[in-house]
Amino acid sequence: MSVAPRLSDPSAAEPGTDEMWELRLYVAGQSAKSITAIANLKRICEEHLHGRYTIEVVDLMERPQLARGEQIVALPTLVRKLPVPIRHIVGDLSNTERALVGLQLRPRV
Amino acid sequence: MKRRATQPSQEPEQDLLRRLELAEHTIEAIRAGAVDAFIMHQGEDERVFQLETAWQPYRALIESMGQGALMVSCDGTVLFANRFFLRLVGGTRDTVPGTTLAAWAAAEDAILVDQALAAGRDREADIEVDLKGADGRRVPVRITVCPIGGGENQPLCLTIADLTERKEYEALQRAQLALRKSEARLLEADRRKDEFLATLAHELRNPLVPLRNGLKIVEMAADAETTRRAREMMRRQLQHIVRLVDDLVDVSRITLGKVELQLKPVQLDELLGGALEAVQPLIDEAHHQVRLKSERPLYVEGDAVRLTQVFTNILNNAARYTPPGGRIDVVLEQSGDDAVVRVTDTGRGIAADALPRVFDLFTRMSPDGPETPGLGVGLSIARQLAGMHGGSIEAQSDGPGQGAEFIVRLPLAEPARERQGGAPRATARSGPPMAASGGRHRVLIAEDNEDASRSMALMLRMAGHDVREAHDGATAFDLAEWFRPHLVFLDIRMPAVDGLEVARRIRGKPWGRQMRLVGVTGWGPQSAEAVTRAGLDEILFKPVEPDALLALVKATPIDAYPREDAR
Repeated sequence: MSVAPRLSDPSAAEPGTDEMWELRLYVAGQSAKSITAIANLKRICEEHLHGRYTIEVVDLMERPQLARGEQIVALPTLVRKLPVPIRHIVGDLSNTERALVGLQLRPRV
Repeated sequence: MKRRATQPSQEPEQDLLRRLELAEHTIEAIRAGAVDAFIMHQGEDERVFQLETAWQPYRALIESMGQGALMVSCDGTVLFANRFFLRLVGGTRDTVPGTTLAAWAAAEDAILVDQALAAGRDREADIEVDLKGADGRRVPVRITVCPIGGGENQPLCLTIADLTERKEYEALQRAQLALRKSEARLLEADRRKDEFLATLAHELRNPLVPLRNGLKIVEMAADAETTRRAREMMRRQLQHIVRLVDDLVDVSRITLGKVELQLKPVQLDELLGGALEAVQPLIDEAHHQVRLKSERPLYVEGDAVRLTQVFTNILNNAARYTPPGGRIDVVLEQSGDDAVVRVTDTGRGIAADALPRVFDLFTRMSPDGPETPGLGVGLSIARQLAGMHGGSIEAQSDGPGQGAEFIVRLPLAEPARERQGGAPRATARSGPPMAASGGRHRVLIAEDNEDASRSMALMLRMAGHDVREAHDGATAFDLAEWFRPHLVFLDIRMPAVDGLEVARRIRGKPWGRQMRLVGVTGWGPQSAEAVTRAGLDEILFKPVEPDALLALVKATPIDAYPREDAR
């Protein structure tokens, strides 16, 4: 079951509570912000998405070509693949509130 | 839910809005310092560039870790050195980067460093070398070179571990091991000493038996013959005890380094003859056949008495450990710059495993027949004395029952100094000529042991002399002054004022300058110098042979000192 998306503004759709989240975190090797982002992301997911998320960490230092077509400029960047729409959150996710807002787990105030 | 494609949505406006939003968000994130890397296009490729801050935690880690960390270029130049390394070699960020690593190694290790750097391109290389710090101190380290790939021109990563503590620990271990070995040796020496003391007690008690019995026999005997035989036996046993004590004292003094050699040219074949004479009784008793062979006279620089002792001990050994009717050959010859004496016997021989211990103190062969008397010190003394002469003794044997050979080597004296050898021990001072002058002498005995003093005095009185006794040094001096003895026997070891001090005091007085002063000691000869300095005419060893004592007194001139000014 899911909340029916608002047809007028798909980008503003609120995600439901049952769906599987697919998160992809683009990082730059083991840079300070990269490892911070990984840690923060895991924490946020455990707290707010327990049991219904997968995290994929993509190291662009190793395979920079994976950034193609992804509109990635700065690292680390978190991309929510699922649920749609795709959301980008740039930065190390230290500001939890902003990260949650970016992930649409909190309403924007 | 169906997965939507990641294409921009159909509404270009929405898409534009989204992209703007993302751009703004990205700029915000950059401004907020939440990112530390960018991905950019480089021609066809994408490349990631990191901000310096990306590595801050790692830099902090490298700077603070307890090991040296270096980045070294392919030609050996240090590009980066962490704080630990800088501290290790006493360098700074200005003095280390830019230098070669080999320059910081100890001179002999520089080449190892270069080799490790070369090897480290392909695989991890590990070396242990000494680094040489700015202040010259040396630090033992292990250098590990890690290749990071990327080809010939890539820099190398090195970690440096300070091995100082480990080396100190190893040194401690070695010291501990040495201590344990030392302890084992001491325990062994202690055990041998205990064994020796037991042997000593045994050896000393044996002659005491016939002495004690002999005295009783003399007490009980009715006829002169029995008495005479008992006295003979006691005399022999006494000799034996005297010899034992002599050996004991010798061993102590040699070990303590208190023996001084009086070195003179000595003719060895004469000396050997003398040694054989000394051992003759033992040889005759065992009916051994002895041959002495020397091609020509050979001279060595030595102490005649002590060298005789060396050969007497060896010959004694040969005689005792050869069954009756055996043969002993003594051959003297020259070998290079040495005189070599070979004493060969047809006796019991020495087992191979006992051979190395033959010269050890307190070692004796396990008895075959009746126990051979002695303390097991003869060969040890002989070897030490030979060593003191710059020579050596070696023992050889083909095994039990095959006899034995003892080879003594002594450096030859320079031919230019060949003279008549075997001069007797010099006396300290020449006093007035010892003309035989019988008659009643005044003798003073200074001896703190009352029995010793009394027995000496009794003997001298029985020979007709006027004897006074003093049991301490001060009294001895006073007595010497009013009694004006012709001869004073001074026990050296007396408490408070010893014999040497008494002698000095006497010589300091006009009436004492010509007095005959004879030192008596139980320990060993004082050095000739000490004797001369104190003013003694002679030194005798306890127990003094009674006949010698009497002869000495008899020979002291009487009129050298008339007693007109005394009581």
